[in-house]
Parts: sequence; C-alpha cells; structure tokens
Amino acid sequence: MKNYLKILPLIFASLLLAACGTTGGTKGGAAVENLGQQGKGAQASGAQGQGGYQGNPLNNPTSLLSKRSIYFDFNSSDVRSQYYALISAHGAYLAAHPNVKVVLEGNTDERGTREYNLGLGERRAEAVRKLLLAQGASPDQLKTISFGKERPYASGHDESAWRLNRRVDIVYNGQLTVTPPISSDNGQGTGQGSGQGGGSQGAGQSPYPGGGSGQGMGQ
Amino acid sequence: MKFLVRVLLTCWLALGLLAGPAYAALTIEITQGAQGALPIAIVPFGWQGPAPNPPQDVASIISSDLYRSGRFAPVPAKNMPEQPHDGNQVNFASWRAVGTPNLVVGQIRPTGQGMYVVQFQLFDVYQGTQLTGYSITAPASELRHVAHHISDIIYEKLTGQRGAFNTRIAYVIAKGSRSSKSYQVVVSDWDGYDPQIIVRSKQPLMGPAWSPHGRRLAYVSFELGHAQVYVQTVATGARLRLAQYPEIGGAQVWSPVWSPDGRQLALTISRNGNPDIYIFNLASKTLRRITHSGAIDTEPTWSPDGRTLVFTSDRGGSPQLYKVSVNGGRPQRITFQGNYNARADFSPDGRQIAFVHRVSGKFQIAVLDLDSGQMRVLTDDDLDDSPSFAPNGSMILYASRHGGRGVLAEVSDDGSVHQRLTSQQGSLQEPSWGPYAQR
Repeated sequence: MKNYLKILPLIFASLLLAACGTTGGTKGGAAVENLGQQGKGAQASGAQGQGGYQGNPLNNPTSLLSKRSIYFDFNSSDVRSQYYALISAHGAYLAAHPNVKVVLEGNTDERGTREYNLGLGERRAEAVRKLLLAQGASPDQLKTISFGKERPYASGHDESAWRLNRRVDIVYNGQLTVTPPISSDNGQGTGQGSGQGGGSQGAGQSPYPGGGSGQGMGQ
Repeated sequence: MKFLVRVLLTCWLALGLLAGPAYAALTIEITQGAQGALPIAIVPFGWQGPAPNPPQDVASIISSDLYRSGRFAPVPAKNMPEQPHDGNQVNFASWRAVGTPNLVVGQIRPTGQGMYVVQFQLFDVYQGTQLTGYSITAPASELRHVAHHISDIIYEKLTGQRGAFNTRIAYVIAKGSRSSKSYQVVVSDWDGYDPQIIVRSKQPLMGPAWSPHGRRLAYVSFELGHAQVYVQTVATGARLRLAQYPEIGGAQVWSPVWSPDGRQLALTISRNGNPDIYIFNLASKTLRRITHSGAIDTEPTWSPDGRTLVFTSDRGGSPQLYKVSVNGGRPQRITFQGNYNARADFSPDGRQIAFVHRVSGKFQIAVLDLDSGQMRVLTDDDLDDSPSFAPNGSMILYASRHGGRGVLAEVSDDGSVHQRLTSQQGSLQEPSWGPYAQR
C-alpha cells in the first residue's frame, strides 16, 4: 500500500495534465496500430450508456484509451511520468467497467540474460498493475504475463529497436495493440545504445499475425 | 573394465533403439585453438572388412574430441612418419624423431551381424610402453559413441581428469520469422551429432535442465500462454506439468534446476509480478519458498553438495549474484564487479561459478572463484547467455550470437580454446551440458 501512496500525487498531477488537453492520443494521426479493428476486437461492454460515451472509447483514436503501450528505460521497471495519464485513463475505464479484464504483457529488449528478462518483464507488468489498482481497477480484472525478450516488436540490434521492445502492453479481449511511445519520450536515460535514428530495420514491422503497418513507430 | 564397457554398450544399445533418424548436425568451428597443447598422434585406424571404408572414421572422431578439449594438438596424418595399426608394428624412434610424445593406433574389424570390434592402444613414445588399450564391440550405429569412449580413456590416462566426450547436450532451436516462429528442445551428443527433438511448440521454449542422471529434462514452455515448467523423461517423452499441482497452479514458473539428488527442483515462481526462488519436492509435491524479496529473484543454480543456491537478484539495484542456504535464510551477495552479473552455473567441483557479466555494454561469460573471489572474463562476445559447465569442469558451453543469429559456443575453463556450433536451421539458444553417461 505504501507504494500506492507514494505514486498517488503523481497520478493526480498527471490526471491534471491529461485534463489540460493533452493530445497524446492523436499525435501523428494514424500512429495507432489497432488490431482491435479487425472484427471481434470491439466488445460492447463500454457502450452501455456509461458516462455518455459514444461507441466504445477503447476504439476512439482520440482517446487516451487507444494508447496501450508503456515504454521503459533499460533494465528498469519504473514507469516514466509521461505514461501516468495513459495508465490513469485505463484505470478509470476499468473501474467503471468491472466486467472488463485486461492482461498486462511485460516485454524487454534483447540485452541481458533470457531468464532474468522474464523477471524484468514481470516487474514491468507489475508496476503497471499497481498503478491501475491505485486508479480503482480491481485485482481480478488484471493479469500479468511476462514474455521477457521472447517477443520483440522491433527486430534490430540497437537502441532504435530496443526502445520499442522495453514495453508493457495493456491487452483488452486478447487483442494485442502495440502503440508508439508517447512523443515526449525521447528515450532519455537509457544511455546504452548506439544512438537513435539509424535502425529503421524492423521498427515499422509488426511481428504479430494480422499486425498493421505500424507506421508512426519511428521518431 | 571389460565388464564396464559391456554395461556401457548395453546402455548405448538401449538408447540406439529409441533414437529416431538423425538429421543434419551442428557445424563446429574452432575459433581459437590452444597454445602449448600436448602433441598426440592418432593414426587412422586400420580396416579389416570387405567394404572400402569402416562405417565411422573412429580416429578422426578421437582427434576432433581431443583437439576440442584444448589440451591436445593432434598431429595431421600427412605429418606422420608411419601409419601402423598394431603396437607390434610401431617404430618408436621415428615418432621420437618428430617430437610426438603420445601415439594411438587401432583397427576396426567386422564380426558379422552388423557388429564391429574396435581395438586401440595408447603408447608413451619416449618410454616405448603401452599406457592402455582395449577392444570394444558395438554395432555400426554406436561407433561414434565408441570413439568418444576411447577419447575419454585417452584423456583420463594423459591428464588425470575424467573425459566428458561421451556426454549429451540439450538446447533450444528457434526457427522461422517473427510471425511464424517455432521452437524445439533438442538433445544431441556433445559434438552436435545425433540431434533429437524432444518437444516442439509455436510458443517459446527455454531453459532445458538435465536431471543428475540424464534421464529427464525440465524445461520452460509457453504453450499455455505463459511460462510453465515441464519435466520430461528423455527416452519415453512422458511429461509432467508442474502446474497441475495446486501449490504451483497458474503462477508463472521458470528457470528450473535440479538438486544433486534429483528429488527437488529449484524454480522461479512469480505470483502478482514478484519472482522469487522456490524449491519443489518432486516426491512429496511440496513447495518451499526460499527468497522473500520484492525484487527480481531468479536463475537459481544448485551447489554440487546440495546445500546452497546461487541466484540472480536486483534487490541491490542491479542484477547481482547471491547465495542462500537451501533451508532459506538471508542471502549473501557474492558478485561486486560491474552492474550486471546473472545466470550462474556451479562448476562440478563447487569451487567456481560461471555467469554472465556485463563489460562496457557487452554481456560475456565470466568465472568466479568462490574461495578467492577472483573473477576472470573468458569470452569477448556481445550477448552471451546460459553458461553450462561440462561434467568434468573442463569446458563451458554457452549461448552466443554470431552473424545476427543465435549460436552455441564453448570455451575451455582457462579461456584458451574457443569454438562455435551453428545450425542452418535456426537460432540456437539456452544450452545445457548433460551429466556423465551412467556407468
């Protein structure tokens, strides 16, 4: 519980920021690669007259809820502050929709040992879980899974790929939707890689069946 | 000793019957040879059968084994002053003249019904005396194992250390592109021959770990969506899913490692995002929690005396190695150099651990002497993982990366000999060196 108390002020601060009209969800227009558009992704649960939503806000590209990915620094499971608003939005949505369940999938970049990375992915998923709980989601709505380094989104071997693979995805209805880093995230603090910009390799391609073009994944 | 050989052959025969058809083996490349290795001549074995060649080139298998150990420098056949097949024909003076202290001669003879007799003798050239010699009977399908067994005998006679040439390894091979990956756990001879797939999946497989007698493998499979540990009997394929026991249930479980008596498994179990070390007793199906931190505790390795676990934890802020009694208690940090030390494996004598050590952004294999605290980095690669000692401690098998794909590599315990094992079929990862064959 102590942990939650520590982060609560941050969450309120980020909620304020969110209220002040962040456009994080719309930057780059087609930045969202939404697998949920392919048929069964859109579950009706959000549309049942809750708080005046029009349709399912999960699929509204202007909603923060359409952002599903939280990115991390190397070897860290600390959630960066720019993701608090995103997590708060999902936490509030889950609190308002107690029948909705999500899986938090933790991933790492390829560096380090395979099995330690399973642990690291697990800690990342857990960090997001705690924040969602603090926002009112209930434990039985949240499940964490770690894939460690087993499911890289980008296949390169430098920071341009690594930064996209250090990630927790919030997965609704079994539909993995990898969204790009929030743009204020410039990968600061990683300090490990060979720099950014180069590796176009893989960064724009989805490894997942049915994955979209992933456009907008670059810087 | 003859009796022992016969027992061994019976084991080989049993294995042979269960073996499926072999497919392409790994390619072995010596990337760095040893300086000051002991010259030895293994003369091509004589063939007394009707066909043009014996079913296996036994002498070249022995040469390759001894060369790969780093302790020996086999003399090329073209540099041999003579090529005798029997001790009676050896002219020791000619071998002394070329400075070869040790000489192996032998021959292969078919005895009918698909059986062969392999006879060999090892000589001390300077004394002009036979050090050892045996005659071994086996079917064609077992002649590689006979050659490895001869390598073991020669190696032990000349170094005083038991050979580990007649052992097996397990590893994971990942194939295909990102949208259609497949994974296999493969068991093969130590030199990559006779690979056999024991399990395959479209979801990740990892961490195969041999039971102390080499009959079973524990490994991690994501086939049900998250990391779970299975125990499989190698010869029959029979599988045990640990999650069937309520003590483990739906938790994420990985990095299995056997206790030296084979009765327990140390595991990483994560419930609610908190990986800790546990010990599961396979007989009583009971689970004991060993660590209680809120940090990542994972990658246990069991000391050969059964009393201690070494594991990776980031409880101090970065991944470091800690040791803890198997009865629990307060873990004690044992690595202090660098900010990434992980994935330890105990040496068979319990005096060293091999592990992954990060130096200037590169993940390399290092060895720590547990008494002196001295650390040596043995490799110079970018992304090494999963070190695993040979059962005699002479070599370390590990995962590495070369040309953008996963490969296996081996380094001698002194860092002098390096070799690489690659497969055209996919990326190799998570190797584990099996125990000695049962005697």
